Amino acid sequence: MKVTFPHMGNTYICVKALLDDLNVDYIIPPYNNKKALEIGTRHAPELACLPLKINIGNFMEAYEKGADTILMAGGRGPCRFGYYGEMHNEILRDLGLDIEVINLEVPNSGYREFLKRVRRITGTVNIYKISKAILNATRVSVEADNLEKLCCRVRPREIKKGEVDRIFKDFMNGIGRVKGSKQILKHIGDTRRKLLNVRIDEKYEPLRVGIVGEIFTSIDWYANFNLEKKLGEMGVEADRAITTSGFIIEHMIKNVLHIPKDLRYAKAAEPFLRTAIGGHAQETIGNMVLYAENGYDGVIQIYPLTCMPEIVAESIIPAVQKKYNIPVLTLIIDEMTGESGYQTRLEAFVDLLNRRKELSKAEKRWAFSGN
Amino acid sequence: MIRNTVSGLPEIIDTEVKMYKDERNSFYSAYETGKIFCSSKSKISCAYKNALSEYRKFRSWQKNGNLDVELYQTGIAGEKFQGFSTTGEQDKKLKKNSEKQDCGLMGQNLRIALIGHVYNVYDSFVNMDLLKKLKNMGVQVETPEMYSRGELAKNTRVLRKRLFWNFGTTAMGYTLELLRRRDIDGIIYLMAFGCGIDSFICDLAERKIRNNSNIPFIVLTIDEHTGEAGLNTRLEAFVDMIRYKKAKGDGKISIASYAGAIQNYP
Repeated sequence: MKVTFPHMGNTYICVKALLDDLNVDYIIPPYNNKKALEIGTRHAPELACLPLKINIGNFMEAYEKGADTILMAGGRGPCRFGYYGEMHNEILRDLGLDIEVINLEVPNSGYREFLKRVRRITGTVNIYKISKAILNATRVSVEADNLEKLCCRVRPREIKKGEVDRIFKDFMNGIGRVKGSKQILKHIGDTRRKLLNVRIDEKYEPLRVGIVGEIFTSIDWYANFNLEKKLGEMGVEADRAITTSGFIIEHMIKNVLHIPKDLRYAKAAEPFLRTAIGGHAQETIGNMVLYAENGYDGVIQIYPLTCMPEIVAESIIPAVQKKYNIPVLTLIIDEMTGESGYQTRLEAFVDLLNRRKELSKAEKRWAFSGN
Repeated sequence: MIRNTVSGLPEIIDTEVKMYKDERNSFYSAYETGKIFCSSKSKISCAYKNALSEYRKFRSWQKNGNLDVELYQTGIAGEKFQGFSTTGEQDKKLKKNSEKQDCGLMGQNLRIALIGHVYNVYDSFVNMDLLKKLKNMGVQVETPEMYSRGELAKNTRVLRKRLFWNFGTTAMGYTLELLRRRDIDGIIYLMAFGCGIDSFICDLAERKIRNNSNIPFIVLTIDEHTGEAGLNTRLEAFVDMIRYKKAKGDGKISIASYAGAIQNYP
């Protein structure tokens, strides 16, 4: 059995650690690319959201390389993601592909079925072994996310432009050469040291922008056209609210173990959106408020076209903007989005933030750079 | 959404309805809403009961194959509504209708199922009088509302994963029911552009129908840009295609005479 799984930003690093530790044979599909998206668009329903399309592309590319089983996460709505596994199964089966989708979730028939699925993949139900692997994979995920955060902090301040990107590229290429959570953690640590040694301009005070929105488009660097990198190149320090490790810890592990979750965002979102309406709508609003309270210069919301929860969140944004006086840019991504139009909007937004900052600093001296 | 986009609104009553945890919660939400208007609990529960019985009456009226919501409203107002016919009577009525209309090819009665969200199917403004148009073409329309939700939910047990959407359960259950019955001439899926549930359920239903039968299936997507003429064309083409298919299957007519018949279309 050769297992494969969909790409979402750096998620593959932690899944790789998990499968390595459990001695499962797997194939990592090629990074998200244009071909994968094209394949997905051809076979997925027209109005489905972007992640579904890219996932299908991933699976078909992995299938060509010999994968025969797909690992998918599940859920119980109201977000469409809960039914992704079934959609994938139907679409791939109708295409005549001999590939099976295994949903890693507790199904309606109870924990027995779940354990059966786990045993099919890992060949064991040894709780100790599995939980140790999960724990290590979670640590890998946390470290990988911290590494990305560090990149975001260093990138706008670096003196020799492009150094961070070069280090990060080496890191990604190096992942293929290491095996198991221990080696991956060491690899991450090495990269971290390299990043900390990058020469930076310590006096530079970058604009700070928060990124909120739907999980896939905000995390995956192909889907959002390398948003963080683009912002970094413009001298902006980006911070992303939603991370892979956050999702794993808050939504998976804490859910299973019934540990109270970190609900700061829900409290912050309370005046605007009282209930969780599925997806990441409440997180979007809550984190936007938190960013505003922490003195960020602006917020970017990003989501795939027709994403139901984020549409609701978007309609609430004007109220947040008004109350906290913080500019928000909404970016909607689908398979037709062009990179240049996207770049233009980003640049315009960053220019606007720069002027705002200068205005507040200059007070009554009305002379701006660029005028 | 409304509260945060439109300014200067009067007070909004937005009681949360938490039906997914407990069916009885509908009373609590009704009670919360009622508290705004009057303080007497017995009055509220009385009103709630009235509403519930009216709703059940309406549902059983729908189950008997009645679609025109306006007719129901006038029926209530004028006290003309004569209880609910049993299924037997209903069948008789249908038969009578089909006999009356079964005069020649064009009058041939088609049975088409219409799947979609209730506010798309029954709102004549949103769907541009779709029900009336189909009726004028001599089509008998069926909707998922003619079954009870429980019946349809039972059908969906064959799926690998239970659907967590109410509408999804209804629509999929209905699709499976139609595939089981096999007496329907065509299926129309009325989809709202950008609706997440529709996009998945429609695809799943289409795959089920195409893989397991040769029932004609069409998806009509509506949004604020939909032109009525385009909708008409598609609808007419779909119905004509079914008639043609049926006639060809019966061996009654040749293609040429059928083409002539289409020109006489009202």
